Amino acid sequence: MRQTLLIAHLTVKCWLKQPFPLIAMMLFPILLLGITYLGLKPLLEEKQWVEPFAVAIVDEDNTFETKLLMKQYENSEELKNVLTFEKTDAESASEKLASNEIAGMVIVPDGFTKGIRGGKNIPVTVIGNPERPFQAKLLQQVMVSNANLISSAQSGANAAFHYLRKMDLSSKEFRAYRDTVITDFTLQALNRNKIYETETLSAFGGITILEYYSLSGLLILLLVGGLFGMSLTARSEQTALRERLTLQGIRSGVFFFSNVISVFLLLVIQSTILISLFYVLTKMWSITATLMVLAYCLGIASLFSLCQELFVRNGAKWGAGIILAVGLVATSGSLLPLSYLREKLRSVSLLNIVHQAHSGLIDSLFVGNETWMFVLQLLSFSIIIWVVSLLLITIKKRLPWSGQLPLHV
Amino acid sequence: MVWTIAVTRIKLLLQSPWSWLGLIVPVLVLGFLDMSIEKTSDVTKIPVVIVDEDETEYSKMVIDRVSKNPAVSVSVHNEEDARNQIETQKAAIGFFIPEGFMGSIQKNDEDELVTMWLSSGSISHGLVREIFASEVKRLSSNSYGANTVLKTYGKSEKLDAEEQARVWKDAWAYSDKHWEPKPLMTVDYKVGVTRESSVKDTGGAASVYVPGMLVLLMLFSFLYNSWPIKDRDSGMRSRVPYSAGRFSVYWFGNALGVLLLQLTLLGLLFSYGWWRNELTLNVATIFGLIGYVLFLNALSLLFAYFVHSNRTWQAITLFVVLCTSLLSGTFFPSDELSSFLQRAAEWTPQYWIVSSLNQETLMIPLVFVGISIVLYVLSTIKAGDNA
Repeated sequence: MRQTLLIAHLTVKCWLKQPFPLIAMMLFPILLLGITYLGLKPLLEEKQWVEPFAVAIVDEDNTFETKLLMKQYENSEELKNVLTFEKTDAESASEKLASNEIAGMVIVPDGFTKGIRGGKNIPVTVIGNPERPFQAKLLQQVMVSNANLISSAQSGANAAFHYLRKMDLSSKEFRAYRDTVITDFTLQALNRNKIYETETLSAFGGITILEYYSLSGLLILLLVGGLFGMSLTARSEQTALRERLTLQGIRSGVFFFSNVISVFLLLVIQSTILISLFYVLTKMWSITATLMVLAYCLGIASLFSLCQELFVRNGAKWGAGIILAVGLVATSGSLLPLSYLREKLRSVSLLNIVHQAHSGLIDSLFVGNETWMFVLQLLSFSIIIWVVSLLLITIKKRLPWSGQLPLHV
Repeated sequence: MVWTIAVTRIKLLLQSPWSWLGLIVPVLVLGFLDMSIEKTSDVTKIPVVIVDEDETEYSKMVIDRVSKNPAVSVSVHNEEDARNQIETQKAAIGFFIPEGFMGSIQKNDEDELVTMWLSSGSISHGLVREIFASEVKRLSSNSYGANTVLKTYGKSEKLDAEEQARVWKDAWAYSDKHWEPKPLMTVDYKVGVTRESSVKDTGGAASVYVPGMLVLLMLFSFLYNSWPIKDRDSGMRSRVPYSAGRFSVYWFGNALGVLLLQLTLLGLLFSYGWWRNELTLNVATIFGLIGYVLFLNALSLLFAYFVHSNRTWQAITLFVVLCTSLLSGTFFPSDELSSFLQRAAEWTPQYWIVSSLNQETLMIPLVFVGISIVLYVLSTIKAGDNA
């Protein structure tokens, strides 16, 4: 134990001698978070997904119906949250699209109104900007759902016209009727959101997307911190030290645990910074959550120390570490909710430390379920990893290609 | 002389069999990722649960039509199971169709008719709610049409109850028949920078191949270009004037060696991408990618001059690679979410190379080459002074 602590102490001292990587590691998550937060701040305040983007609309038909449609597009509150329509001509729309000023353009073709009044399909062209694939896709979705609504409005209206024609109205009367009917039907179809009553169900009580993803960010950044920590413990000075001390008869297990302790210390410092950021953002934290994060840090430190023992070359450690981190995040359900994953991956995620920590934290912070189960579970992860590592070290010693120095140099 | 140094550098970098793997593994990893994601994109539908308490012709029609939408996978459950599915995040969104649904639609009394359940993590419910609403609205507009007919035509013709029921049904059917074979208004979606050059969207899920390739090229450029640090450590750099001749020859020779390796990697990645139809083969694309690689080489060389230890170099590599990939918007469309993030993205090389690939312009590659030359000159002067 004394040896382990001494080596851990030495490792930390070693880091402090060359503080740049250490500072970079601490600053990196904050910088990244800072930029993202600054960028998304207006969106978070307005509770929106995306800053409204510009779309050009070209009306080549110019009839009462298309003008009504344009007016609807320009004034609809729901659309305004996502995009702003600018009515222009085809030429300037093309210019704006080419210079990446708009996310796309909508062209209502000549003869459109005549077509839908006569029951004939005349497609509206939507051209998305390939440089803004996300916004273009949104525009497509908005236009497709709008087209469906216009189709339903128009087919209802057409039925009404069909019978109006049977009524022997004068053409003036008919036209007056027609305009009211069109307006009436369009409005009826476009107020589609009124059909819903929304209820948010959750086993975790009301947790907002912001809170959900802040937690994910906290855990993922700690994971990246563990990766950095591994690279710091794999420095050449340490390798040299290890070789020398091995000759003195110090066992590999000691090095493993000293690695765990030093990376753990690093993660604790990082988690204090991240937790305070989290608190500023959500005004929420608890003692169980602190214990859980500590247990998580220990688990991550152990995991990367195991990765360190598994590989000899620095490049291989890095590669394996990055793949491990990406795999853990991808199957944890912290970025993409679990319901989107394949069935097989869902069962794997039960063994995923990030997943367990994420659901544990949600449980304790947002449900107020101060359960110790998750802390124990996270601690058991570390213990399992320790057992595996010790086994591995014992096996490795007996292998001829283990990369360890023979003791009789 | 330059070539001798370049060849020596390549030999040094490819000393061990592992480093040979370094050239092939990126292609294999990207290929594997590319294929596995392509396969899953069919499976990744948004899971939706529907509770049908009405069990009428209308509710069944809505469920049937929503199920046919390729973006969602619908399952019908009773209320308890459905709530449970959403609470445990097995489904992203649920709809509860109450008893009397059909009657309310026929009377056009549909405010807050359907209850929509969201799970805390639902992120894409916007699309699903529109899909569901448009199916409900199709029925409701038919009824609205039929009701309007009764109000106008029915009143003026003074129909009796039986005739009214018949006319209502006829009008409903007349309205609904507009949906076959195609609805009245459809959207013809294309992608392109001008009206003439736009092409039909293939509708495939966004590929990770090109973004992944750009990141790997950057990563390897930084990994290979760690030689100035090693040479400084081993004292090689200070001995250059006595052995290799002029300093600029030594500096360029090494940079050229690394560049040749990078180009080999680019060649492998590009051929795979071309074979899998991820990239198009034309002058602008090739020139653009070569410009990008040249720029990365110059940039990492300049960075390497300022760094003194290998560990710092690794930290910087990870920092630059992660920051630029996240902010460039190539993996996650951060640049499209807000104008601030877009400005941040404009500082990353990935943003520009993707623009150049999309626009097929030669302007951006030329700028890349120009900046690279400036960076090379700068690093040579600085490093030469120091040596």
